[in-house]
Amino acid sequence: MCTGRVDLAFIFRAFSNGKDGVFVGGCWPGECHYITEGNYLALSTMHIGRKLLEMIGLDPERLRLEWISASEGSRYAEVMNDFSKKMKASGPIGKGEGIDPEELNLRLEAVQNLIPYIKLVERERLRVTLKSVEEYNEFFASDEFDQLFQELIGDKFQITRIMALLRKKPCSNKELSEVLGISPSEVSRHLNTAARQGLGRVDESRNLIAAACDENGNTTTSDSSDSAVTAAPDNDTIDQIIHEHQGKPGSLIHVLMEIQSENHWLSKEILDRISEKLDVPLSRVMQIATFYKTFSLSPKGRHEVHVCTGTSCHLRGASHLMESVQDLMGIRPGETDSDAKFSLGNGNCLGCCSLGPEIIVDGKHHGRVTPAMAEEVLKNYA
Amino acid sequence: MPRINSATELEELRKGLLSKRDPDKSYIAICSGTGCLGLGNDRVITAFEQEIKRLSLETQVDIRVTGCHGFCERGPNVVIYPEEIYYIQVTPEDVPEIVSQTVLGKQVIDRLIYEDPNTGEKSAYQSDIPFYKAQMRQLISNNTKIDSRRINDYMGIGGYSALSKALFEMTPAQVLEEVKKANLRGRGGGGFPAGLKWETTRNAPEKQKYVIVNGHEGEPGATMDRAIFTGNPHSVLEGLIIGAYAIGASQGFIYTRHDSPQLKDNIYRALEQAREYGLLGENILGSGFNFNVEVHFDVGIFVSGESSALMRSIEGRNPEPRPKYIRTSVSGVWDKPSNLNNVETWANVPQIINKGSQWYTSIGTERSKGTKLISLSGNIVNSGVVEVPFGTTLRQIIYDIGGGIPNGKKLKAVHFGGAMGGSIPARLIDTPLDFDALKKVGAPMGAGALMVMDEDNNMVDVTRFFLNFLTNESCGKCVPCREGIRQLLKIMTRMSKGNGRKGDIELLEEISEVMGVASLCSLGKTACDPLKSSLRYFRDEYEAGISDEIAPVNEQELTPERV
Repeated sequence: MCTGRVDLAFIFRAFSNGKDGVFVGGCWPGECHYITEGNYLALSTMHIGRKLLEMIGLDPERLRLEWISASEGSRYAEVMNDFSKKMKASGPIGKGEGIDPEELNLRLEAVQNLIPYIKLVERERLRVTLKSVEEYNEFFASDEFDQLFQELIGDKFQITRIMALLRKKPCSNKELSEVLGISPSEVSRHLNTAARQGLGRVDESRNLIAAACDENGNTTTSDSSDSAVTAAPDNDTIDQIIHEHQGKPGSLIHVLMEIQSENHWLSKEILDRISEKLDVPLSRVMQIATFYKTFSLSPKGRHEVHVCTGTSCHLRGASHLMESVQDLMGIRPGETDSDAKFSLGNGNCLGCCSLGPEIIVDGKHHGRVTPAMAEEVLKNYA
Repeated sequence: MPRINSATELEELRKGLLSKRDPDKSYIAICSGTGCLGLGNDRVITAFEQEIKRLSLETQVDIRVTGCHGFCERGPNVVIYPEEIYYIQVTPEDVPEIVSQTVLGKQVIDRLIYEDPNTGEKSAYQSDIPFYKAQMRQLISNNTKIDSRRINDYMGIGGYSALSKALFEMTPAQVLEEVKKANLRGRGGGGFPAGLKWETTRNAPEKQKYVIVNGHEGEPGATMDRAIFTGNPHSVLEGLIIGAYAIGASQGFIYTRHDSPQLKDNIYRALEQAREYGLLGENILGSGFNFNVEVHFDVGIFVSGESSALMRSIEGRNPEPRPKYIRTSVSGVWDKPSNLNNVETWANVPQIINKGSQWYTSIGTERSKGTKLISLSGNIVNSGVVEVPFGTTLRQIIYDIGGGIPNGKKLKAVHFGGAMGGSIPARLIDTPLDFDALKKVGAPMGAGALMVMDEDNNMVDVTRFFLNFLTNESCGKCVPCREGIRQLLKIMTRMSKGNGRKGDIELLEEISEVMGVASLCSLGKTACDPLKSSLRYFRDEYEAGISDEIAPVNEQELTPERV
């Protein structure tokens, strides 16, 4: 079999089955029997595979690619002896790196789930058009590749792991962050990305998170205002709003607007209900709900924070204020922080230009705020 | 409240209201505009209410929670009538003193009055404050006189007399003629003569016609419409009913912002009160004219202020504009002729009917008549809402009313018209406020948001900021707008970091030209206006953003990113 045919999936299936190392050997570059590119493909697969191993905390040396042609019997023996010696030194997979076997399985499973996606991404963004081994090695060692890898695969991997954990049982953000070994604000960033990518499924899991937060008795902050995040939508209130507008042409926006202000977000169940009761196709409801910025399809924190980014505030330095608020909260506009305390939005001009730059929390204006004062303002909200 | 069934009954009601009122009775006008509320004026209002109650002064002193006074910079503002003593930056702690000293004792409290930061001169009365002295307040002056929640206050200053005059003394054609003669031009941005627009809708073949108030005001920095609509909702409503009568519409729509609870409340309350008085609904004032109004809200998107997009939104759909080879005045909401005007345009109508077109045309320049509300913001001493006659120069607005540039900085540029407006350099500020004159120099007035920039503001950054705003607000229906703005933003972003490439400026010009020609609605057509005007006047700043070391633009890089 051509080395180019050795798929990432094969490699990781071997690791999943408990193999300590995977060796791929084949023709030298430039001596390909087929399209003269097979072994470059193998090289690229090997680089990505090693990067993936590194990402999940395994020794990248467990995957090895060597150029050995059919006539190089002694070299083959030499290389194999060396490889098995190294593998023995590294110890059994997982144990050698000090990873718990169950955790290792989870990580490997997450990577395996990602492989079809990685192959797609590789074709679009990571395909190298270079034609020498040195250039390949240089590219895969570059910062550019690191950044691409992190953006395209690293984040996706974390999301996959979060989803895998949440499918097993509800978790709080804290638990997630402990299990995954990343900071809570990273967790919330991934959750937000997830919410943008696939609504239904992720909303469900976000509910789990919110619910778990509540159960765990997030004692310092749990109070009645939590309900904005955790409470299931009250069908009676929603039915009443729908009923008030039923039969009027153009009522859809009114209904969505009132439910949004009542419930702070529109869950899939609510949208289904509106579609059914108003007899409007769900696609129309979704069209409106995704078009207007006021409608939120993911739950909001207990406090909605806006930093006005209108022109006048901008001229007076709102962008610095925004940076300082983002640093304080660890989230970006449109996101909610890990303990569902704050949601950050960049409000369009609200007409208090003489107060600029300003922070608006739950409709209350805090005017003429300097970046240094932001912490003082936010401290008052629990 | 009794229903009013004729013009005579309306006048009797007004007389009754006025006779019950002592003209010398003190009243306290507390501003509850967005600016003052943001500064905590709600607590000042409560403090006054408690203090008056505590001293049992309810019969002697009236509290009016009014709309925006305009002087937002020095808020919270409180005016004591009948003396018209103007207090600035009032806190709840000042309230007992104001009531005992000023309301009862008729003494001016020195520390609460306005002091000119340059001359040190103090002014106790509203009309003496330079900010007010240089204005001509036709529309917004009523804001301080009435409690925006009470229709009787509006009646007391002659409210709905224009409607009664139109219904009983004029035919619809005469009303239309009067508005045409007054040369009332649309205040929303286009400056299109309102009379001609009304006539088109009136003459359109369909029987069912609509009139619409556009109170969307999505333009950042624009707050005039809110000031009028929140502070004096009946003036807009009266204008709308008169317009409906002239056009022959039986149904009206108000389209406004959802994010201002006070605005929402005041509009709903005004409609309710007008219905009870019989000023809305069937057989208005016994004249046989029927007219109803429905309220709709924008839900946080800029493009829905565009007329055809707005009408789609009223229908409960996505606010995507449509091509206008058939104008909305012929085919608008539900494909019926729909006449849409801005809040301020409608608010002008009652005074035109009351005082006549001759009076109206005596104010302003040759082609722009009447007064204009301007919202002043950015790097200026007195930001707020001001009203001046057309023909006032920008210098007068910025220095005489606005008080100049703070912190001893120099004026660099004046930007008019928000994200789709234009900037002109300081040397052109003797240009008069006039639809055509401003358009000619490249700063079309738009809705009237005047943004002042000082020497620290970088034009490339400001233009980039507008483009960034517009990329988020473009509805995405037509390609030149959606993709064009994105590409402009991409180029501007690298220029603002000093990484511009040779040929970038030419590329910017090329893209903006295509967008201007090929976009569907005015958002896309005018999205590059800030760019064009700042390139015209501040090209050196763009050139400074070009790096010599970076190779010219590679066309392929302009293809959209693949993800």
